[in-house]
Amino acid sequence: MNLDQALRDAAEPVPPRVGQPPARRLLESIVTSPVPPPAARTDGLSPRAVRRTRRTVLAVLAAGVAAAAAFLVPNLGAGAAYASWTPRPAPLPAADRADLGDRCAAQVRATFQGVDGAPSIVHGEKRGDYAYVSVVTPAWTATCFRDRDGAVRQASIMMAPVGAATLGGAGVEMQSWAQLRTGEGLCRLMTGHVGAQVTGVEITVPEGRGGPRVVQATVEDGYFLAWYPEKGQGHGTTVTLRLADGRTVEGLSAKDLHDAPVTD
Amino acid sequence: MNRSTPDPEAVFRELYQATYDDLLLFAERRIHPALADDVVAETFLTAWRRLGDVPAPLDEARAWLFGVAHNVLRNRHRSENRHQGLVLRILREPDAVSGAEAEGVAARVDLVRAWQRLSPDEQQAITLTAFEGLTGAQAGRVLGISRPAFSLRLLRARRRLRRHLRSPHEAVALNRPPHPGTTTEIGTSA
Repeated sequence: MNLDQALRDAAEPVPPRVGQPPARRLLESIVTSPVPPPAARTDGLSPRAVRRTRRTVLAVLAAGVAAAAAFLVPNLGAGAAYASWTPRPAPLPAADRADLGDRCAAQVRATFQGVDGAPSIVHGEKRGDYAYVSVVTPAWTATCFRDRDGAVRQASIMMAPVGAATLGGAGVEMQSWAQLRTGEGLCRLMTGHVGAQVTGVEITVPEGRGGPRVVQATVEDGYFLAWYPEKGQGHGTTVTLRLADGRTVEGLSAKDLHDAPVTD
Repeated sequence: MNRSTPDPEAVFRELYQATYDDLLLFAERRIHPALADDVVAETFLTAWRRLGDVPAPLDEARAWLFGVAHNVLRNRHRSENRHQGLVLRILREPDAVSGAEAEGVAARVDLVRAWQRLSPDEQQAITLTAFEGLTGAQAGRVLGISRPAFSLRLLRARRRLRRHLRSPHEAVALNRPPHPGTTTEIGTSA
């Protein structure tokens, strides 16, 4: 049963009222009130958004210096743990993906009985001996990690994700940024939903003996996922979006993205 | 919402037309209907004064208005010294066919009872998404909590609702409001 629909069905309907006299009177009283008329905005961005954009630009400039020194180094900072991990992902074979997706969705539904059994899309990747999948439905998204011993762990779930229309061309919603402890230590698992123009996602992790690490995410159908060994708290981790027209959006703070999506 | 025009009044009228019904429902779900008009008026007056702060995309503008209304409601509750949670009535716009009609009244009664056993915060979380159509990020902003925190709250609320639906005859006094001071209810379809 779809809970949301059942609730809506059980609710009391009311007719539209915007055209009725009380609503019209309220509107006229507001626009003719002695309150000074507001300054109209025509750029489509609120001042708050402008401030946020400025912060992003500054972050981009600051991150540019760090990013210049960042490079893809296999296993850097991973030590003996996660020895087969790679900064670039490999595709997850279709049969593997279907099996892991089914197991993941079953775990999610068993653990979180409030989620509906909506049709889901599974994205996946391999890095060394490990597999990672995200299960996406319109109402929730979840991730599962398959360890090298074959054990599947449900890693995260997020409810009420943003829709594709909201993300526009270059928006991004981080849908999980969980840390998982396996027998080899801690690792970080990230997934998200990106705008239609985004063709690549890279994650820059500041920790590492040789400098920042760049992790290339798997991007499929507007969704991305990546995981990497990480002992720390994720401070300073940034996300870079590569767009179809060659532009990049750099320096998006992973922490900020975890709190709120960036819409285009 | 078209922000191509520099005329603030035209922009506001467009916003008002597009969001009035949703905002009135938002208020009516949370406060006595007789007071909902005041909340709507105060919210739109705030929007008029701060039109430059209202996000341009309609769904974001709608969520912004809900956030203002949420604060108006909270201030009212505070000023009236009413230590009550959400007063939550579930209302919606009518549509042509109700699936619940086919499923029968009994299922609806179970759902109403399960709903009544949720806490105000749980009802709030489900209402913001299921009825008001907000994303987790928008709902978190309305409530002043982080998106992950809202996601967790929503997950727990839905899990508890399902649990109540599966065991509708647990030893809970269903014939009284579960949270003193609230008038939580689900209305029936017309």
